[in-house]
Amino acid sequence: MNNLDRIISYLNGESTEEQRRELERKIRQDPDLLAEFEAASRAYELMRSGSRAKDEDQFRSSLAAAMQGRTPRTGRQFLLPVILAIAASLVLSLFFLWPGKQDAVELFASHFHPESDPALEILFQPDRSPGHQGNAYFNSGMYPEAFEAFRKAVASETGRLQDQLGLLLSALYLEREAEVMEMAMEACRNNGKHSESMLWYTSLALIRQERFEEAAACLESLTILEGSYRKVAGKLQKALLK
Amino acid sequence: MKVAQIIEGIRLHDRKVLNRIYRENFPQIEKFVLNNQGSSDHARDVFQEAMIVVYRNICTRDLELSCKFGTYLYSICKNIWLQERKKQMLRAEKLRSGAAMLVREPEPERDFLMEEHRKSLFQKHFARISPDCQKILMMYFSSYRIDEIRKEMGYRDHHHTSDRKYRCMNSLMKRMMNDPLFKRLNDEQS
Repeated sequence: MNNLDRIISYLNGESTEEQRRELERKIRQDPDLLAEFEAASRAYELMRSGSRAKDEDQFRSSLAAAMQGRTPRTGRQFLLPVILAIAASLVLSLFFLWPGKQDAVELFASHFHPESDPALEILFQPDRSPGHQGNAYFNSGMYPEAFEAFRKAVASETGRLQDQLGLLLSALYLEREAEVMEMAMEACRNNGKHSESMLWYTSLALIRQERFEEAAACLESLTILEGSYRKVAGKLQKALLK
Repeated sequence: MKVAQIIEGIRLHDRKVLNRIYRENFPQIEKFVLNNQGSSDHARDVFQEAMIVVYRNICTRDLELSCKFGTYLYSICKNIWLQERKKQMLRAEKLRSGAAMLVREPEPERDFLMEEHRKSLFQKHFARISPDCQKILMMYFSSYRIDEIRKEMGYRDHHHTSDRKYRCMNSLMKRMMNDPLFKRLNDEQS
């Protein structure tokens, strides 16, 4: 068992009494181990609170879906039973055509892996040109700063196509894609060099926003173009239309 | 439905249980909110917030109720709405009296940015671990027992499940700790 595993076991409250005393004794005697323990404790707390927040988000989604199910009868609904029945059947037929909110979350999470996307290599190159610090912030995982830097770059005369992509990706990390959808959709139609990546990540943004029909349409070009997204776009489009 | 079944259903995000709770309890909650200067939309928000409170209580401690679940939920909803009404009335009173607008102490920008960085750091690396690891960690930190995680993940035994849990934690923590942003945040906090 390495130090990190011992620390995890300790923080989980799963160490034996002897293991706990042993670790505490070593931490008291070894300043390096103390520093490692403090850093690991912070990482553990981040992991704990972050995982709980994610779980709570899923609970909210399940609750929202459950509240959209059979609704409680109130006075107004008794007045329009026939119209409600027709509306419900229309809504249900749409529901079965397109994935639900939970599927949207899962579809997005299973396809959003920009760090392992070879088509994005250029975005991860260091860029020291003035007015283009977005890459540096993005590479350091500083997404709020990257978002602002890319946004300024896009708005300026020196804005580049990759800045739009950087802005979209930063927005996706920050769950702020709604703020950049217009740019993404426009860029999808007009971009040359980066149109494939923009199409792909715009499709994912649309999926997370449950705009499945638009996402499927956005993926259409990728299924035809001979590019790195062709296969995965085809599979994702099929999943949307299932 | 027994209270224990309800609590278990909430804990496992069981939509049938959640829907039943909504159908059986929302009308009464909506009536309370409407009778206290609220709208149906307010009632839905109050219901959702109350259910989040219940969910957190279930996850962070073993919830044992000495009353009906509906009574418990209703009391939480009532508290939430009455607190909200109190805030609305205080704001209205200040405006009427012509008092200066309550100026909120601006949150220290640095703390807010640090919190945003921490969240981004977690999200970035959480997204990189496997979906199975993500699921295991979410379940573990929402107080799922190891046996429940084992069943949900389809693992063969307790030991294998525990081992996977450690590997996932180790993997995520190492990724975060090796990120230059983590080191920077760590240094600023020390």
